[in-house]
Amino acid sequence: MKLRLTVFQNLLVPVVVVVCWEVFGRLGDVPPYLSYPSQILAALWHLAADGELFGAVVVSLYRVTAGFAIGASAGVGVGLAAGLVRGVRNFFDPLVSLLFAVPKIAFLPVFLILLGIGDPSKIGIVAFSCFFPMFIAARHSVSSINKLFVWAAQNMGASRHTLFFRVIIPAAAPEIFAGLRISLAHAFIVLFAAELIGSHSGLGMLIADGEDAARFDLMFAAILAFAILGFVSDRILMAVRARVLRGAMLGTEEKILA
Amino acid sequence: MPLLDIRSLDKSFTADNKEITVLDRLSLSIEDRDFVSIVGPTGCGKSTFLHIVGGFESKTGGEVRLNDRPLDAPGPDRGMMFQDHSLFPWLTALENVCWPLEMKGLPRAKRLEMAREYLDLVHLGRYADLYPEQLSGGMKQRAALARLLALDPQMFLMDEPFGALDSQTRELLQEELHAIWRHRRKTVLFVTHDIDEAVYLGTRLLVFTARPGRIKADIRIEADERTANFRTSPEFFKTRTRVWDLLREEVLKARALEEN
Repeated sequence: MKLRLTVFQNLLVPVVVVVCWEVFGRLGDVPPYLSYPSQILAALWHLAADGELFGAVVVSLYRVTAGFAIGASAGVGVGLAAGLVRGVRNFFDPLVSLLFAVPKIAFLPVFLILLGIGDPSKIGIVAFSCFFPMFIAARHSVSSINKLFVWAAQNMGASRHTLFFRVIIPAAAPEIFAGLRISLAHAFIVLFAAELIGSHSGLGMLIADGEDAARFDLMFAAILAFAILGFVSDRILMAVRARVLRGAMLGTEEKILA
Repeated sequence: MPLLDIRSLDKSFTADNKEITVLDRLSLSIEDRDFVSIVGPTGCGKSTFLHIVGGFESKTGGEVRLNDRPLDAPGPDRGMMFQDHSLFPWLTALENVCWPLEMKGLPRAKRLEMAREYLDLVHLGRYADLYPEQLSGGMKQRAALARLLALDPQMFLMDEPFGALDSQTRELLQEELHAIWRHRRKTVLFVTHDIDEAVYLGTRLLVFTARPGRIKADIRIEADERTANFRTSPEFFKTRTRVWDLLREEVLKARALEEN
């Protein structure tokens, strides 16, 4: 019963919006640049049928995955190092504070000049964009570890190696996953923008093409594909997290969200 | 030769440009297999004292020798149990108890077998596969005790281990700890703010002064059998009253110190 109520609350607003959109769209009360749901779905179907969608999804997915993998691992590595070693911290902290709030898409021209119009520049800017939230999460995860865990481990005779891999990493894992989630969102956001502005392929370019040709159904179809991609990858990440963290996540608010 | 020999131990630190002396020329010898209860007003440095013996905090001056060797880094010869359970939340109760056994290099099958025995000993056998978050406060401390038993140190350092528990659970755990201590004959340093607990468990009871911490009184408690009857015996009440009188002065001093 409670579950049904939750599902109802979750779906009420989207369903009402979509139904109104569809009804008013068909009646012609909605400006053409908004299109309407059945038209968008038809366009999506059309894009999928002629293979154009699949090609664009593969390209965008490749860029987002590669960029996320590079940026997030660098963020985790450097962030953990900064949390543990004062020298690393002193070097990176000001740099990150300075650049964190700058929209990373502003650096796209630099990446385009350095790496060209193809995949490398997109992967580069996605990685660059993922690095910052991940660094901040990883760095903080180390400094907020319960001192007692470290003491208890030392007390039981843990070596430095054991302490790092068997205590610090698992203790930091919940925050690292929170960082990964934010990084993943940033990856999609910056890729979208990068493909929109400077790209000959990918979902973002499909959106730009739809807009240029005044085919707003196509534009929304590509946006929808983007949203589905982002949603599915976030769900996958959350499922991995639930498996990896198990006990550590019990009793926290977040387990409900996962 | 005493197991633990402490000579004019000093500990001070600076906070807000003020030097605070926590421990002041503390000297003390502890014999093997003694159960030493330590009571004192809040902030008297009794926890700091335990942390220094455990090797977690550094001393400012003086000498601490364990088995006639100077002691430094934390090691498995002194097992610490904290007030807040320090079980690893990402491991089950069983995996937590296995940890020290793994550090000792025991093979997996042996570890699991021993860890199950220790959990049974603290009546947690049925809950072996639960994570710490799924256990009640008393069960968490039981699991922490099982982990301490698995570590099997020469000396137990216990920092208000039952402080956060309700009084019924606390009494049961005290009885269990006493039985374990009698059976295994470990040396225990037990910090508490609960006088009843200190008298019930201790063969020796130290009263610390308000900051800077020194030893105000060193009392032997000679009861052999610590059954529930001991809690209602005249000797128990006599000791309890005496300790409270000693402590009362220090608590008042500590309060005055706080208010300044």
